[in-house]
Amino acid sequence: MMANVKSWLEERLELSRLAWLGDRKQPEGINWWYTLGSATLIVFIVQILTGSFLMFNYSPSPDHAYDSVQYISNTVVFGSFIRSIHHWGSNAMVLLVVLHALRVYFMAAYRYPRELTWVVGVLLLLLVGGMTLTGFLLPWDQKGYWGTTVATAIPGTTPFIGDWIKTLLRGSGSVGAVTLTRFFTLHVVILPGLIVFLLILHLFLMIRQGISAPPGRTELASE
Amino acid sequence: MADFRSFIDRRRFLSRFIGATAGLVSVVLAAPLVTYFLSPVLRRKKQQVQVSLIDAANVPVGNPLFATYRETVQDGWVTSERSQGVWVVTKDGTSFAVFDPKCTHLECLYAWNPGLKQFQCACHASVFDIDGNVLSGPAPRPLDRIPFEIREGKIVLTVTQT
Repeated sequence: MMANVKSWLEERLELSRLAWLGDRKQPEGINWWYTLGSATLIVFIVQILTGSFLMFNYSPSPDHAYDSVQYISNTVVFGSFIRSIHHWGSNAMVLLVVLHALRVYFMAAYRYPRELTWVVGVLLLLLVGGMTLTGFLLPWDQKGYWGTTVATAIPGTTPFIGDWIKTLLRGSGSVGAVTLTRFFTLHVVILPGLIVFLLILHLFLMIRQGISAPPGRTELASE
Repeated sequence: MADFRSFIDRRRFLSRFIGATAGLVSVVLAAPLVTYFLSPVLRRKKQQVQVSLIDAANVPVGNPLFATYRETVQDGWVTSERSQGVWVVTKDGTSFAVFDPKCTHLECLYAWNPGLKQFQCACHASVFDIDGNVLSGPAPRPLDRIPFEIREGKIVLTVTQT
């Protein structure tokens, strides 16, 4: 049965010619620190899954946001479990991307010819920061509300254009209904979309150029 | 040592071990997600409450009356009070019937046509007589009846609440 499906697909798509993707050569001397990128990717997938399911029962309006989150935690079967995974997943995400960046920095993996991967990676790090900022407000609790008030007031201290940035972030004078819908849209559509786009670029560059060898080890010959 | 290698080589062991771990993690994550999605149908049974509607004497003979009562509805995270209506029917002033206002076809609200003496549904043209029997249209069964009793001259409904 499975063999039939496999040969049916093989005849049409010749997937075996892509087998090298999962069987790439790695330089000598790599270790557990080199798994942090993959770990981040897995956590990101988990975040997308749990986040999508949380959206089933979330209402991004000041009247309903808090109650809908309480509904998820107290009424929906496995709701608090899914929400907890998303909560701790976001913490893990930040931890992993930072460790990943430190690994790349200390192993000097950002250098020629991989500058582009590093630049895209830094953009991804900023986007993860954006995800934590926007996601923090969504439960619409005291912590999220005042956390967002402070976090949007900080860029407000920028000379000359501070007020302009602050109003742009909040969508109005103070954190309110408009802030909630705009943070929600950023959190579930725009930022994840940008992350997926840059992630594909990041992975393409990594696969195309191969993983860098640790300092002092020889790089893999390209092609 | 050589025996070990011939039993299962390191590469195959690792690939199977990683595959099994990934599978286990996937199941641990997928099971709660599926259950979460199924949550609405896993909800506990609804409870029944009694609602005093109107004086039975106020129901016009041979002319169905749309009577309403207030009910508190728990809709997810929204608790709201809304007006709920039923059709009260009597042909002789002594025996009564209370119909659920939703058509038995696809739950549209039907209305009484006083000229033709029929309940008519605007959505797909189901027609019922004053006893709730299907006269024509796609409705698969007579109008649903709501259980009630007449207590001290008042019609008291037994309705199910979420």
